[in-house]
Parts: sequence; structure tokens; C-alpha cells
Amino acid sequence: MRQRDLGDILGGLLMIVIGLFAVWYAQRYAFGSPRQMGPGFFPVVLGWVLAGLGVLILLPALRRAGEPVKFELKPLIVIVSAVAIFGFTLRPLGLVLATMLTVALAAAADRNFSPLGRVVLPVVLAAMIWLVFRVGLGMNLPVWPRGF
Amino acid sequence: MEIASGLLLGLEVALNPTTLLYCFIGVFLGTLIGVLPGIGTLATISLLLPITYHIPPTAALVMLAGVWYGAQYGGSTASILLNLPGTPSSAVACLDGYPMTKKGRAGVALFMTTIASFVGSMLGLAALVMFTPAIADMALRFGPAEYFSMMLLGLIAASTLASGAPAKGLSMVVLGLLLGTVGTDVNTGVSRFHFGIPEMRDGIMLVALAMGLFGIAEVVGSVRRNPGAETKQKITLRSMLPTRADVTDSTLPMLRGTAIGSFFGALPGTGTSIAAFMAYAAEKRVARDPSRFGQGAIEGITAPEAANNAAAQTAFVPTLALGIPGCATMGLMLGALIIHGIQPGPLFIARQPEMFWGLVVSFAVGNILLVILNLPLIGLWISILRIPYRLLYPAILLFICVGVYSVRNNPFDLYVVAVLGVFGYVLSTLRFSAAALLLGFVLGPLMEENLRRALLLSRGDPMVFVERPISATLLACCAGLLIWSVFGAMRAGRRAPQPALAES
Repeated sequence: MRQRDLGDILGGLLMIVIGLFAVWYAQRYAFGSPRQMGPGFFPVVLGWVLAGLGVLILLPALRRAGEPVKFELKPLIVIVSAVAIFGFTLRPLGLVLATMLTVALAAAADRNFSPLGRVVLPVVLAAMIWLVFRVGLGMNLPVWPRGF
Repeated sequence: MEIASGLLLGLEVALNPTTLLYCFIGVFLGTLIGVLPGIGTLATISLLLPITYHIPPTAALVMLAGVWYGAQYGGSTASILLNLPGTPSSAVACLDGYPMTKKGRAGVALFMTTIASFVGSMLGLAALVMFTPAIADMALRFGPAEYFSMMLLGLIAASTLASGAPAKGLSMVVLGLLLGTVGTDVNTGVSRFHFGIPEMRDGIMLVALAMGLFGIAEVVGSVRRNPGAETKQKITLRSMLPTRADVTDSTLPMLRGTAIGSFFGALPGTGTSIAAFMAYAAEKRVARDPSRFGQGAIEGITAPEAANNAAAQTAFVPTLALGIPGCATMGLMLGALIIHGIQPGPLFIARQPEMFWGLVVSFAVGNILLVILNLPLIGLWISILRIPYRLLYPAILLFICVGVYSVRNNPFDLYVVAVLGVFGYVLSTLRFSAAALLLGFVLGPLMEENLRRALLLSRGDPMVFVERPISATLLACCAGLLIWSVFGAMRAGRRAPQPALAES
């Protein structure tokens, strides 16, 4: 089998796609002239440069062995959705409940938690966050569900 | 005379209880995350960025800087005890630090690295005080063309010097510049790349970008690794006492390390890790018996530790004198200042003397605090090494969430962080440097503005960049760096496939 550096092939393609997208999308802004640059000038130039660099990353990777790409989907999904859940629930449910939900979800990314740890950790962290941000730094955050 | 009055002014600022408190918090957290191998300085400073909105700018910078140089102290602890570098710049300390532990001299190694760190920091700080005003004076004559060329050089150096793949580093810088164009264009008022989302008209928040790229991506990458480590080392205060030979053998190496570190720290793109490696290589070269290295030579830990700490101090020189950060961490510091409406540059010292001198004196105070934290309390840090990561990452995650929300009280920013977190994780699995991206992002708007201004002044003639001598020199350096790194990559590319073939 021919040797390929999959990581750099994907990376190069990603840069080409982003670069060309920027060039295409920035067409709607005036390009202007070097003397009087429009808002589109800088993004279009950068987009072309990025796409060019993408080609430079991609080409040598086609004829070279590379390290395998390790992508762990489950922790990524769990952690990212924990962040989204926090954004979703903070205003309606308040800091304490949103915090506990987020921690309980995030703990699912690790199999080594004991059942007790899964209950205790959210409570402890909710108290800690409340102390640091609400009491310590005096930030204006909703603490309890709306209507309480 | 000027320096004396400056230091006096700084003393007043640095000993103010609020500043002192944030200085302590900074160096404490710095040591903590320096000791812990799974958490980096960039991630920690990103995490603390939202807090800087709620405290005075000087205190904010004092705290962030404390994390930065405090981590240099703590980093060597894990290197010495576990052969696991706590920070990249303390990787060199493994080479001779861990052999010392195996010989039962861990206490001495920890003591001497703390002393070396202190010496390096204080002398590096002296270099900062001497060179920053001089460089700022010189920069007063710089026009937009010089600024543009200097930022270009900084970005190229930062993205090509440290990594083995220059094209990947450069692509991250360009992507960062591109992300920096999102939002309202200051010159024309046109809002770019907002995709019809009103929140995007303000641009991508630095806090959200830093949290996504470093916070989320790092948590996801480390969850399965679980670096909670075992160490049975008992370090008593008595075992830390060095012999007379340890001290005399370290004196000159520390000074050489400091000189090397101060130089490389101030250059863009080199930074603390390269400084430490250079200092180690230099010691090996001048040593009468190079074979001692790797088997617990005391110079092998004291010189690089002095170097990376000196470099951590002088890294502030380009940031404070020119407003141009040389690495991503300095980019975050600059970002913290811009959040407070302060744009560092050649006039920074003249306009904000209490801030500049307050920082200088607080760095000195912070280093004294670090010696106190690291010597008698070393047992505390060693026990912290035993905390498993699964107890830490939910707390880190919450810190990210609450911090991001608190900046604008808008849940939308959390969704931005989630998206950028996915993007950051993809970049890190493909081995792209998110640090280069961040640096590009911070410098992007400044670069665009200076480019426009330079070309406006020259009536659209691009020759302005090569007709002005300083700008031409800087651009020549850019070209040299690019050519050098292309050749380096080509040579590495020709050599690399062979071991891979041998394996299959």
C-alpha cells in the first residue's frame, strides 16, 4: 500500500476549503484599490494565501507516511454538549441547577467515577462556583430558577 | 535616576493590597498548573481572562503574568520527580533532574531549580527594565510601514521557528488573521463575516476563542489520559540542602543560562522552551566532562531553569515596548490590556508609568513569593500531583462556562465556545498549532490597519515597505526565515520516510 500522511491531507484540504470559502464570501465586500482598500481587500488576500498554504500542506503529504490520526468522538461530544447545556439552562434554571447538570453530564466522559462521586461532585462544584463567582467576584448571575 | 523614581512609583502600586492579592493568586495558580502536567499556561490564562473584566487592569495583568512566570517555577517539579514535564519549557529539566531523583537527590534538585529560577527571573527582570524604555524610544520613530513589517516578522518567526512544519504554522497564523477580520471593519464600518447573526457583528470575542481553542480542546484531549500520577518521594527540608559543590558548580551556568534566556525570550517566536534547550546545549558544550550530562549533572537543571525563567521575563519586552506580542501567551496579555482600553506601544511607559513600573515591581514581589511557595511548601505541590484529572476537568469546564457567560451575560457566547472547541480539537488532532492562530487573531486588526495606513500614505505604492530602511531590513529577515524554514522542511521531508519504511 502507498504511504500517505492522512492528518496533513485532511489538514491541507481543510485549509483550502476555508481559504476559498473566505475568498468567495468576501466577494460581497468592496475590494477597493491598494491606495484605498475596501473591507474585502484583506480577507480576500488572506483567503488566497490560506488556500495556497493548504496546497503546500496537502501535496507533500500525498507521498509520505504519517502518524495515525487519533480522534476521540465520545469525549468531544460529551464535553461540548455540556457547554451547550450550560448555555441553554443557565437563564431558565439558574446557576446552581445548570452547574449540577453540566457537571453530571461532563462526568459521563470518564468511566472511572464511582456512583457516589457522580452525585457528590456536582454538588461540591455548584457550591464552589457560587462562592467564587457570585460571592467572591460579585458577578450578576441568576442563582435559582426563574420565579423563585 | 529615572529608574529609581520609577521603581519607587512601582513599589507603591505593587504593594497596594489589591495588587498584592492578585499577584499572590497569580503565582499560586501558576505554580499549581505548572506542577500539574495536564494543564498548560495558555489554558489557565484563557480561563482567567473573563475575571480581568471585573478587576483593575494593573491587577489583572499582574495576575496573568504571575500565572505565566509562576508556571516556569512549578514546571520543573514534575520533570524532576516523575520524568514528566509540567510545562513544555521544563522538558529539559527531565534530562538531568530525573536521574538526580533516582540517585536520591530529588530534594537538592528541587532546591537548586528554585534558586536558579529566582536568579534567572530577577536578572531577566533587570534586562526588561533596561531594554524596554530604550526600545520604546527607538520605536517612536516607526511609521505604519515599519509596524506592519515588524508584525509580519513576529508572526512568521512565531509560526516557523518552533514547529517542524512551517506551512502548517503559517496557515494557522493566516487563519487567525482571517478570524480577526470577523466583525465591524473600523475603517469603513462594514460588518464582515457576520452570517446574519447580530452577535457576530462585534467580532469573535478573544475570550471565547481562547477558551474554545485551549480550554475545551485541552479538556477533551486529556480526559482519557488521566494523568493522576503516583510518587512515593518524601522531600524533607533537610534533604533539600545542596552541597558546597552543587552551589559552586551552578553559579556560572545560572549566569550563562540567564544571558541565553534573556536574549531568546525577547525575540519573537523563540520563547522559553527554546531558551531552555539552548542553555542546556551550551552547558554541554562548555563542560569539561560532557558525559556527566543525562546522569544527574546539576548544571543540566540549573542553567535551563535560569534560562526559561529569564526568558519568561524578557518576553514582556516586545509586548510592552512595541505592543507586539512574540508568543500566544503574550497575545492574551495584550488582549487583556485591550479589553481595558489600553493599547501598549512606544508611548505606553510615558502614558501609563504607574502601570509599567507597577508591573515591574510586582514581578519582583511575585518571584519572592514563588521562592516562599516553592521551598517550604514543596510537600503540598507533590501531594497535588496525586489528584486525578477526572476531579479537575469538570471544575475547569465550569470555569469556562461561567467565565464566558459573565463577560456579556449572553448565552450565545457559550455556543460560540462549543463550536470553537470542536474546531480546536480537530486542529489539535491534525497537529496544527492553535497558539499560532491566536497570535494571528490578536495581531490581525492591528496589521490590517497599519497596512492600510502605510499604503494610504504612499498613495498605493507598495514600494514603501522596501524603501524605508528599517522596514526593508525586517522584510529581508522575513524572507530569510521563510527560505530557511522551507529548506529545513525539505531536508526533514527527505529524511522522514526512511524510518517509517524500516518499520513496515
